[in-house]
Amino acid sequence: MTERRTDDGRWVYGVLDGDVAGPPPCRGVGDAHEVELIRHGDLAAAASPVSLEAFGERGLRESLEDLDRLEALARAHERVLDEALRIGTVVPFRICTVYAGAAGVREMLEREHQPLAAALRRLRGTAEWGVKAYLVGREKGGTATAAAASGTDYLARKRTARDAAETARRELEAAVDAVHARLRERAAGAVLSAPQDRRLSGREDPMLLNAAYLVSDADAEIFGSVFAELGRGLSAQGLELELTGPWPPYHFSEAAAG
Amino acid sequence: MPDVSVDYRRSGGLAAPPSSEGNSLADLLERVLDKGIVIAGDIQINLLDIELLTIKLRLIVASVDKAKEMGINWWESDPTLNAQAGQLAEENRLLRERLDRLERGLAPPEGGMERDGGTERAPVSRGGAQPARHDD
Repeated sequence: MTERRTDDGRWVYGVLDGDVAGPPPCRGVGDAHEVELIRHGDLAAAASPVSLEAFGERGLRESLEDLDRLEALARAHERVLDEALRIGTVVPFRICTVYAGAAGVREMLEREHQPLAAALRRLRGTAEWGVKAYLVGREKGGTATAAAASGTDYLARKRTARDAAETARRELEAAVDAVHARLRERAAGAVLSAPQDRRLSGREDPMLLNAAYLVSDADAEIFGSVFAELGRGLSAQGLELELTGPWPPYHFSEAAAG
Repeated sequence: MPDVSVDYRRSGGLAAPPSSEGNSLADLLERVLDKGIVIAGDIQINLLDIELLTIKLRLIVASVDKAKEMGINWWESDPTLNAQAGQLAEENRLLRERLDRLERGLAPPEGGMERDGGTERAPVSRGGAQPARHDD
């Protein structure tokens, strides 16, 4: 573990085709905020010079324990990949992939050529779209307000309420499964993730679907139409769909995904 | 898309109200921390060693119900979410420091509240991280 006081480190955002014209035109991480292309063979890494003091093991640890700094790093990482997606195909790297210098990045491009080149071929002409389903406007708790005439009556009502809740739950599950199945038909890949916690999503409504789809540019329009049609059909059931994207294909960067 | 000039993330999705930060932090962290190709770097850092990230990642990878199933109850000891637990963590830290000083037979240093690289978080870290080992 070296902690040198130079700007010789390189933070890598992702890898593009080697013939891309220039680096993504935006600010990056680090003090200089410069984004450069480090080319090697038919690959080009989008990278930023960083000091190995701030971006060495200890510096990164400190940054990552601070939510504001973590957010700034995450947003800068995403910003560069977002711009990269506009100018070509990009294989997004996980955050905090740092090399000791440009030579280290070239060594990595040499060593990892096969999986990176394969990912670029697989992801060419595609983007990732996120779809979430929320349950909105559901009244809280049961609605049995009238006093029960007897204990038996009370138990019967409780059973009825429980059965109704179970039926409603199954219907919602089926509706969400149907959404996923329809969208998947239009996608080259699909990944289901756990619903986000409310404290992270910032939404009170329960999230019932958290999916990512890899969609080819040619199918993007039809994917959008299917999404809109599904959204209209579900509002009566109290389900709201949300579409985000186009994202760099984070969920599909590994060969196994999709 | 129906209108390719629309960047849905900048408008916070078709249904969601616009966010001043563009895409949501949850969506972002879910992707940059948990997804994206993993290639070995020269600087080795295990994201799961980062206390904040293990906390947030648990939020990302496990819903609360799932986390409860797994025996993860960090929110009951996370000082940012629970003031009482925060006091306990602080008390715990001070007691540990006193114990360390007594053991070393050293005089108390001035400015005992000084933060020195996050060691004061250790009690919370242990309390929060332990249950994760049960998820077999």
